[in-house]
Amino acid sequence: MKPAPNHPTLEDLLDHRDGRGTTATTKHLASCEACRERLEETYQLRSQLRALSSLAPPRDRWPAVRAAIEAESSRRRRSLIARAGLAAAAIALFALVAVFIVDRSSELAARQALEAQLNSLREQSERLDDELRALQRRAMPTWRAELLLPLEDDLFAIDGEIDSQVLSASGEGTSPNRLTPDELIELWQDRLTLQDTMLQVHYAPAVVETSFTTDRGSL
Amino acid sequence: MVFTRVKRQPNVVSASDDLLIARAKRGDGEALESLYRLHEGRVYNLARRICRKPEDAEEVLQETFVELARSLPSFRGDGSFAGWIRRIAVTKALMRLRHDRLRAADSLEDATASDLQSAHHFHEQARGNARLDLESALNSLPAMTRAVVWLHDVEGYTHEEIAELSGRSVSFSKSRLARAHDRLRSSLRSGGGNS
Ligand SMILES: [Zn+2]
Repeated sequence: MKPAPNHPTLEDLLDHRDGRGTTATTKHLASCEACRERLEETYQLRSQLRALSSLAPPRDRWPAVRAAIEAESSRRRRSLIARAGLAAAAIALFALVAVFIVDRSSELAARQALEAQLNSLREQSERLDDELRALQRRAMPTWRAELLLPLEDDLFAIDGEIDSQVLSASGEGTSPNRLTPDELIELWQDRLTLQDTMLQVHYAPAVVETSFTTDRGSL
Repeated sequence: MVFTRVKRQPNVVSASDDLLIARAKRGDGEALESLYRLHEGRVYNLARRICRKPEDAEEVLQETFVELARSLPSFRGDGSFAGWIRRIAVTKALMRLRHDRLRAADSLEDATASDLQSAHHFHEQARGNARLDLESALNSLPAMTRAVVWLHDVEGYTHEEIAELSGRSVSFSKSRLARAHDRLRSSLRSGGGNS
């Protein structure tokens, strides 16, 4: 349903349903039957969802779960013992790397260049995030929203990967596949490409007049 | 054997939970199994609703209880135990969604193409005369949209909580919920002949 200028959006109605609507929505509902019906539908759909029957596991998973728990706890014991040795090795390695880097200052410069590139990609991407957030707040036709959905899902996936890289860099996570700086840059470039596509979807009708590949961030 | 067969009463958070938790913390395997039996149904259902595929839901069920066994010593009991398990399960399920998409996607283009294909499939289905029931309509939603509507409307999480769990913004959660309602409604109506 394309909201007419004066009708609240579906998002507004859902907020109202959840007890966090605005007074404007409440006022509007008092005098608009169409919106009251639409609101009623959101209640009904929620009840229908809650009434869906519960899905049960197809077989008893406990033996596998117990085995996994046991494997995990013995692995943890082993790694606790190994960690002490690992710490010593890490210190030695760090010293070695430090010498190596000081030795080859060109290498250091290359690393700094990568870091700078990464930072600039990150900043660009954050600017686009702001712009996309602003656009997202507007009411939009269904076709546009449909096109955006899979793109947002991809963005979610990329952010998950970036998060896990950040975690593994800080030593908190146990990401098995730590990316190289080049790959990380590629990931951020993917993110930018995706955001760019999303902006194109947002601006699609205005394609002729606005050149959105330049001068972004001015919104 | 007292605890071999525990009735499934997923919504009951009871004194027996406390007792079992205390015993499981001390490394009592039977108590842990009883906790598993009490909560497996809810965890599995939640995981199935978010991940859709039975095999993924089983994996989430397993990961949830491995995590539970690992973190049980730090469970202080300030909140409800059921809520705590559920939170672990949601985190695991959302993580699986993220990683599945990455694994499935050799490249960004492929991922987008397959998404468009599934969106196309959805529209074909919706346009066809077979009435989509709620179950299949829910399954045809994009992953995060499905997860948000389930977590919010059924599990009762707030938009703020969903934003925190999924690493996205509150407005992301809100827009997904609205989108889900919009799509579910139109697919449920499509069989009625008036669109
Ligand atoms: Zn109205």
